Amino acid sequence: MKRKPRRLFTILVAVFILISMLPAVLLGQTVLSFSNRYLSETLREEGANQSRNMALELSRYLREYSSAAASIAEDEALAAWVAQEDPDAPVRAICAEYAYDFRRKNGQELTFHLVSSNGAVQFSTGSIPNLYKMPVYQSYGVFRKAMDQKGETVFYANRFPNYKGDYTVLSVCHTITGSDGQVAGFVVLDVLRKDLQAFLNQFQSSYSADNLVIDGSRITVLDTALSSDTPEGLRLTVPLYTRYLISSSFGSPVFLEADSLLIGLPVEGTDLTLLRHLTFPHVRQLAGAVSSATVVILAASLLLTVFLAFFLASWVVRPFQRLISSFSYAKQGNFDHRFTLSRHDYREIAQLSTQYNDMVEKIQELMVTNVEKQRLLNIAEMNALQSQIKPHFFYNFLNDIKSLAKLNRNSDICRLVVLFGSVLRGCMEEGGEYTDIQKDILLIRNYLDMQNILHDGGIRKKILVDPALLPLQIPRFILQPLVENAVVHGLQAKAGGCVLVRGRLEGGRILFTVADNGVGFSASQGRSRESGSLHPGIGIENINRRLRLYYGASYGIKIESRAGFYTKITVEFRRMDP
Amino acid sequence: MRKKRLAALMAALLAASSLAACSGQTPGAASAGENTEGQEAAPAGNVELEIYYPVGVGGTVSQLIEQLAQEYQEETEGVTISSVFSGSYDDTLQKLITSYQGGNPPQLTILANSTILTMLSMDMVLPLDDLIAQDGGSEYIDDFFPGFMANCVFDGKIYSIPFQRSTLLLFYNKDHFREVGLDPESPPKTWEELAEYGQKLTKFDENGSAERWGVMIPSSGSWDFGPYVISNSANGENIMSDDGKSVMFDTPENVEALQFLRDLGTVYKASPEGVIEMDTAPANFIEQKTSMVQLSSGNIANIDSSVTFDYGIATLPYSKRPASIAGGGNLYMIKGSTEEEQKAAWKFIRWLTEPERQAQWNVDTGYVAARKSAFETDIMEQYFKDTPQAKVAREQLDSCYNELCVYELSRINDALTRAYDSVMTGAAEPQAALTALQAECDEILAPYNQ
Repeated sequence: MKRKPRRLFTILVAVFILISMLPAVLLGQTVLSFSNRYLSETLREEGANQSRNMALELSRYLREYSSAAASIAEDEALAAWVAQEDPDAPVRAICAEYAYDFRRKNGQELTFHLVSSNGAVQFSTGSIPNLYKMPVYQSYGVFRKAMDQKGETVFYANRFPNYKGDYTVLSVCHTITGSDGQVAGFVVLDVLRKDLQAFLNQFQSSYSADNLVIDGSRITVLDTALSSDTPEGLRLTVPLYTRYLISSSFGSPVFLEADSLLIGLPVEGTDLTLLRHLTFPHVRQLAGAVSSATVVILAASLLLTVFLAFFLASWVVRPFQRLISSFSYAKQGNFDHRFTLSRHDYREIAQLSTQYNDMVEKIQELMVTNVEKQRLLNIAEMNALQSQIKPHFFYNFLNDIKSLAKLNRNSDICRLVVLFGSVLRGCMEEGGEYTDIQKDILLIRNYLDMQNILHDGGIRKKILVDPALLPLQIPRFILQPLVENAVVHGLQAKAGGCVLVRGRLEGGRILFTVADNGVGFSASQGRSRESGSLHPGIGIENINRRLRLYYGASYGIKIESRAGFYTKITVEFRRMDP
Repeated sequence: MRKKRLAALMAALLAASSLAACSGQTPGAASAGENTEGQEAAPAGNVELEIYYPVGVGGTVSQLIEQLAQEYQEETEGVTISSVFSGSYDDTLQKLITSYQGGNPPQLTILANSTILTMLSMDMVLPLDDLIAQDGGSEYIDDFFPGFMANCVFDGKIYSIPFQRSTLLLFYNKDHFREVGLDPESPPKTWEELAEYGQKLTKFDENGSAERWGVMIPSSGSWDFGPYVISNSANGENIMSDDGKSVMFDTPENVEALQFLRDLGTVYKASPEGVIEMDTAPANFIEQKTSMVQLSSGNIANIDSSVTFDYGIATLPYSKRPASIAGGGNLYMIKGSTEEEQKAAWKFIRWLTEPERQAQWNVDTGYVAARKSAFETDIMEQYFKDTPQAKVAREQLDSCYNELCVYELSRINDALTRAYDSVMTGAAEPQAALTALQAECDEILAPYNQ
């Protein structure tokens, strides 16, 4: 089952839509992506800058703690006391001063503790948390880290409530060395959650941010999102963040969605990291507006395109449809119908229509020619037949038979009858329009023999035909009627006449001449003979017309004559190889 | 024609809306990850328990623990157990401290048997006597080997239950024994025999470097030294006091023991001189670089599957009395849990320490079963059939003592390692090193003795 080919109309509609929409879509996409890129670049800039600033500020904030820790640790009087070298040192006073300095500088209370490793002495601005009790915890937690980095301030995430109920989230610790150079104890400062939170909250802007501070071991110090996935005090396990931390993008903002950024920065001076998740809601709105606008425009242009496409496709296709319906006339055999061009039709249609019209005309011509050919052939056939059985001729024939019979010239009778039979056969034979020259010559020969007998040997014949012609074909009922014409009219049954039939090949042309030395005709009579018929009924005109039909207007019969002497008819055929 | 128009219009609208969808999208929508701590949402009325566990010997242990927890949950209604792998023994303790301070400790943990005093000083462990009385009694607790129980009891209270334990044994190459004319079924029993056999078994090449050593005893002061201390001490004393507040390094017997261990290398030339690493000892034995080696029983499975020669296991050679020490981890219950949680946790502990389960644990991990009755199970019988050498571990348990367990364990350990290394490398003499060590440790422990 063959699939029906698509209609031109459908194809055109699709193509038009595609051609029109493609640029629009491309343009739309370009606009969108550019605007998106612009927006995201702006966001990155803004997010990165803000965050860097925040990390810087956080670093400064924490540096206050670390420098306080260092100062306290290096305070000689305090060190001596912690090392139990100077039990009478005015620890309370000295520490109060440090606390005062800190408060004055940073506007914040400082909570800190002094402990000796052996647990002998301890001091606290509040009360010593369990986790700092010596000597038990000296090998663990923040103290282990401080011991590993003797003489430096270390930061360690912790999470425990102090005696007031505030949570400590970061322990800042420094070793205290005695005069013997050995570590005698530690100073630990507690960074409270509420203070750190308040500090981070300063950094507000047009976007919303979740902040996460982690220490060097990735333990969560502070998580402002608090809907969070890793509770404070535990190692960060959120895969998104941990992947980012170890990736090469660390330090630069990465997009999580169109309007949210993740950025992580180290906090200088510590081993802490600040992770921020920023969301820019107004950006989303803007992006939404842009894309909606683009979509609306695209939709509108799509609609418009569709309408136009239909219209255009129709315009293109309609002349073809008219042409197609014209063809159905021809299909039904109506070759008179012609395609009429309208003013709007384009050149290709005009060309097609001309060709259609020409074609139909040609068909008509051919048909007419064919019809005419057939008609004339029929007539010729009829004529040929009829002339043989024309009453007076037939009567003569029978008369001769009678005479011969009376004379007992039986062989002559036989011969005559046989010849007549073969001539009749030659005329009645089925075989279409053409005949072999050989057959035609045989027919002529038989005819002339017959005529000769009928005229008591008064008609001689001479047939000179190039043997090469014999297998070729010529139309039927051309030569024989001419020979008949020569006999009947030229010789006018006078004795001593001769018919000469000559046939030769000249290139692509077959030339036959039929000549008789009969009465001929004069010039005045001749003119009518050339164009008209020599004798109405015999069908010279028929021959002429048929030759023209078969071979063209330039063909026909050429007649030469001299009254009283001869008549010569020349006929030309085109060579058609079998 | 109308219909086609309508269809085209619909298609157009569809196309427009799909364009809208694709223009709205942008690169990479990612969502925040999930917490992978292994917390489950438990149905109401359920007790949730959490257990921290470290990995000591062998890596498949973590899978086994998870499996056991799973099995217990399937068997028992109303309890959910999440097992948290917390790294090494040390990491586990640190994590425990953090979570305890943070107010959300686990209910159970497995930690080294010697960590007990540190945990006591941080006031983190629950005494188990009441729970034992309610569920198990003396029938249960007396079934554990005394060597394992020694570091579980302080101030008359039981604070932990032995779980994944081990003991030191002597592994020896029977083929080498045959080679030098020693009876492969008679491993060395005394220190003298150890030195003698060690000498015989040592092979030197023509350049004078050792192709093979007779014996390798790793230089771990807190672990491999222990048996020699106890074996040689005047009255079977350990290296520390029972209350963990003082150490007895500086005794003539200890000096003797330390001297002997160094002499194995310097005098008898049966051992390499200097510090012998614990980590490479099993490989050295498998590669036949040493004929005898002192290793934890936890190496039995590895040795058994890796050696290409006939090997044997023996109890440690002794001087005055047979002695080895017990290592490994115990189960602890952490303070801060509700009574309901405590009861549920105790049931889990009882389940984990059932004789069959201990026997299976022994077979699966190479840790030694901590209960006597475990060795009477079919599982254990079959195991001994498959690995007859393992029977020696059982034998050793009859003369197995507790390992070094004191307050300030890590600092004492550090000091001990330094002193031991200095002796083995020849930098110091045993007496001097031990005297100095004693002084240092006395100072470290001074606060506990006030």
